[in-house]
Amino acid sequence: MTQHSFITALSPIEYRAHDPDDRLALMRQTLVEHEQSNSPFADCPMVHMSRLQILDQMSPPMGDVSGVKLKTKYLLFAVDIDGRVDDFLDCLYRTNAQFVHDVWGRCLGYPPYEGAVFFRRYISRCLFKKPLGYAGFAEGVGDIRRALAQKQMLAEWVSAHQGMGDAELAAAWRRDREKFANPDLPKPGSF
Amino acid sequence: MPLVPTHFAGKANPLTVITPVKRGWRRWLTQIILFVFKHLPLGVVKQLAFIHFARWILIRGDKLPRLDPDQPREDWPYDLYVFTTNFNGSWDQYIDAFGRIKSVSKGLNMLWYTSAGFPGPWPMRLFKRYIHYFEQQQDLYYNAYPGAAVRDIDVALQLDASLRAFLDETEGSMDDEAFGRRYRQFVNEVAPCLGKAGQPVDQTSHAHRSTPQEFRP
Repeated sequence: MTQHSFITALSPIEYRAHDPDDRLALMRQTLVEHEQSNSPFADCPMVHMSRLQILDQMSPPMGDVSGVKLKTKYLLFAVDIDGRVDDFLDCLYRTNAQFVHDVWGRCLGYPPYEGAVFFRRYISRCLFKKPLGYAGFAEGVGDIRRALAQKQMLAEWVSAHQGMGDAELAAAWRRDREKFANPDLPKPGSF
Repeated sequence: MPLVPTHFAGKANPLTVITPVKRGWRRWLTQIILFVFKHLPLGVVKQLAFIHFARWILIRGDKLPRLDPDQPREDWPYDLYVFTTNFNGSWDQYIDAFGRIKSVSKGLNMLWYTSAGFPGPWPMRLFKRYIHYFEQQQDLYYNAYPGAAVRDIDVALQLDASLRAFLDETEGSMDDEAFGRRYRQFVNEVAPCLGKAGQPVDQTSHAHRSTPQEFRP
């Protein structure tokens, strides 16, 4: 059983109209370039799912015609992980510091220094705690990936060895048994 | 731009809905509701088996981070009630399940009760319009096991225990006939778990994300 953590952070990006420094555009570009197959989260073994969203136009409730709106655009960072938040933030910084600087480095108030500790401190200032979280399963990312890989391998093995005699089956199993005991896991985030 | 980048091809879809909650008694009631739900088992949601992770969190509008001295103070009279979820299936199926399964819709009614303008989960047309109105566009989405739905993971974890037992039994020397008998028994036992996962879904199935069914001509 693994302890899941639900990270929810809002970082201010820009309050001036028309994005004069192109912060939003550059950040969007960075985010698009790092989705799924090229994601820095794939190198953090504790991440189940994560999302980054630029909240540049929060909707007022229907019928509110006061014209009052949020003055700053924010970056929403929502991640579902195993274990401690600080460990994850350290891992993210160490695996791809450039990504961290290209995203949070463009946010307001990010310190002009390099180092995981500054990233951690910055996120802690943007963090919102005590969410109501729901996880569909109690296992960690490693357990799930291992179980999925074994399931896939076993399905292929059973399919490939249909109709064989006992001696052939036993020999084939003795040959391949080690692969099931210690499966090669695909990279996180890949199919 | 579509609500979800269309180049993402996993089996789990992200949804983020941020609804405004008027400050005052609604804020406190929302916090009480979240506290109560934290201590409920949420067994119905587990049985539905199409939600990987979900969260609700109330972000106070007067506590939004102000990290630069030049950043203006916010005077938006609402709190942000953030709901994020990762689900299998289409947007319409997901919202339909929320509206049509009575115990789920009752729970949702309570969770969103304090959100401004929430019409309730029924009639479905108004509920979908409400969700679509407050849905936020995804800029980056990552899933550690994109080829697996919740049910794939459930059966893979069930299979894991049986496979470990089979591996232990076949570790030492076992004559071929005994192995054959045990193997066939094992395969009969785990056969329902052996459906293949891992194929990317067809990109065309993402079309609904930019325009939910309710809004199509």
